[in-house]
Amino acid sequence: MRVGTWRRDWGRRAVLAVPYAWLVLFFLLPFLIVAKISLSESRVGIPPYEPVVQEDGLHVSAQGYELLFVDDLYVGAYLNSLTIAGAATLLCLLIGYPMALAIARARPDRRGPLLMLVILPFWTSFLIRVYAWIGILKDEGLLNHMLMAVGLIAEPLVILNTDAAVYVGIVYSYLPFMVLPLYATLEKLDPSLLEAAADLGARPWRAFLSVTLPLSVPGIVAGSLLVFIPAVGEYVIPGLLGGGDTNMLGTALWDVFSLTRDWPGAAALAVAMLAALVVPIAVFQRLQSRLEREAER
Amino acid sequence: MAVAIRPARPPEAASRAPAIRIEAVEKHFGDFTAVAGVDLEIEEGEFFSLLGASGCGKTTLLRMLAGFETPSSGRILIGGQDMTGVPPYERPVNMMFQSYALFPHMTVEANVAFGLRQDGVPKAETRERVAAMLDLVRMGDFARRKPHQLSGGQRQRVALARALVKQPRVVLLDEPLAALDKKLREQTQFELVNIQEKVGVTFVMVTHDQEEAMTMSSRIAVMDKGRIMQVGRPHEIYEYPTSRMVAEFIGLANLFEGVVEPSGAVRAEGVDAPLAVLEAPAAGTAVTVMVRPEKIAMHREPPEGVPNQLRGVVAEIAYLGDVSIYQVRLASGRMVMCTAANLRHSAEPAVTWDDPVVLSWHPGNAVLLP
Repeated sequence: MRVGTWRRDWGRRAVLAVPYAWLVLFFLLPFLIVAKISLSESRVGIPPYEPVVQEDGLHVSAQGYELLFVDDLYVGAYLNSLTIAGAATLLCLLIGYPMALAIARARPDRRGPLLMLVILPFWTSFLIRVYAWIGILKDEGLLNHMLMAVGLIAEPLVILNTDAAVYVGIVYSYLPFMVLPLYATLEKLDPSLLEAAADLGARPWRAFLSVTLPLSVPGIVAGSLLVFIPAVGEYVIPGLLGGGDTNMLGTALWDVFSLTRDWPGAAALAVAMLAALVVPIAVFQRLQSRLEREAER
Repeated sequence: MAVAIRPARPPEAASRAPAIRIEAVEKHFGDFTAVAGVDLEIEEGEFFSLLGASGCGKTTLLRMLAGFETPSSGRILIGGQDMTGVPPYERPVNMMFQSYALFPHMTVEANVAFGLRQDGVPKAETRERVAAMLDLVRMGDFARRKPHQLSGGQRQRVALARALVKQPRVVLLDEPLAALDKKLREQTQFELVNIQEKVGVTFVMVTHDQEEAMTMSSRIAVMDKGRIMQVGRPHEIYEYPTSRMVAEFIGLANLFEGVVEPSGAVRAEGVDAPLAVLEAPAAGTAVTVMVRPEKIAMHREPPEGVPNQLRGVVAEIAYLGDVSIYQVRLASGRMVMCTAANLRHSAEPAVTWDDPVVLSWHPGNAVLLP
């Protein structure tokens, strides 16, 4: 390798090394510690688990993982989390796509302010915004008062402390993460491609399906992942808006960790949650590459 | 000037409805007038060019033909049918875009088949027509490639195939060669004309390149500031321009501004002798005498019996290989351009800087412009 190339590569490596070092230090190492705890045996004491490595050898136990399957609460939480996160992601996509498309097709001088409005909620604390939904959704809340005043309903709707409230909370909170990547791909779309489609006889709806939609798949995938991944592990929203029967991984994890004080069990749940996230990502990526292959055909 | 590579074909008998008829079409964008009252007829089978500098309204006019823009007033008929209110996807025209606008997620084949699929053409027929069209543009071996795997010239041919495959009444070409480099562009000019003659479809091309327009078109409309300045066959536009704008835009031109004398000659600024012209208007009329540089002969000694003799000194020589362009300074300081073919094989130019020369032309070679 020539010296010049090496020098250039050195600079590039240094730039890449910083985020990787960050990830190793603050993600991989803590995760390994959690993984280690998940393999230990729980006990009463501080810390509330037997160290895996001891003087007389390794003390490995699958107790934590057994718990996940013995009690169907956790399998239920896993499936429930995937369902709620998946459905919320789909809702975000259905609401966010037209928004992103409208912003991308707006006059250039209006796009900035419109994007600003999408990002505006971030100026207020996430927690406060979720609390605000309690005020809106509760039986004596804003929404019920309004609906009753209009005469649409006679009795207040029970929304708070149900899955419906969790959906509202997740869709509301994560919508910007769907809109922004979608906007980024739609805005780059060459308008002459749609003109070409129209010129070749495609009605607007057909042009959308055969040109706009396939070319925005990268944005759809990016946005969906950005919504789905945090939604699966969401703790605050089901905790505040969901009811006692809203069983999601995040809340279950907290219960095991702080109420039951079963650290190995909680750690095992955390590891399982990570696996639960890696699988859908892998599926998504396979889906995307298959879409690309199909487009080639 | 480019060589004419096709015989100027006279438009076919005008008994049928013209392929395109543009009636008093105007287009305003806010305060800006892009197209200011255009009337135009384009016959079936023509290779028609809209020629003009950028911003002259030629692209807007083309986009109105395609249906991407709506005329502010006036109307457009294609094949005798009024296109007012007809959306692009229902017009019998197909466009080849300047950027080619190939669908990046589709193969060459799928790009060309796109239009046929929209019309619900049966699969077997679609395959056949796409293959035939790709063969016509010599892209048969690239059917499975994606646009990003093709060179600029190959993409251009795919875009052409896509615009032709639906057998439209009219093919619209927006600067079809602008994205190609010079050598490829010249080669592609021939190809485009050959394909057009083979399929016999009416082509309407927008270009800012006068040489391209002259080489390829059966007729040209020169546009300026949203208006059509002149419509004619390439040699008519070049030899008999009707305005200073056209004379200056197409090729090189010497323009002598002057006034018609009672003798019928023109007394021009910066020129000692009156300029002899044919069919001069009434005395006292202000006119411009236009003479193309290649119509001017350059002599070392004053020739005998030839009118329009201007004496000067060679100030500049631009050597282009086949011809040289001489800038000759007259006594008044006025420059006159004259081109001469380099007929002899020689290391030294026959006429060189600071040589005194005499320029002359036959009155029939001058054009009087208002």
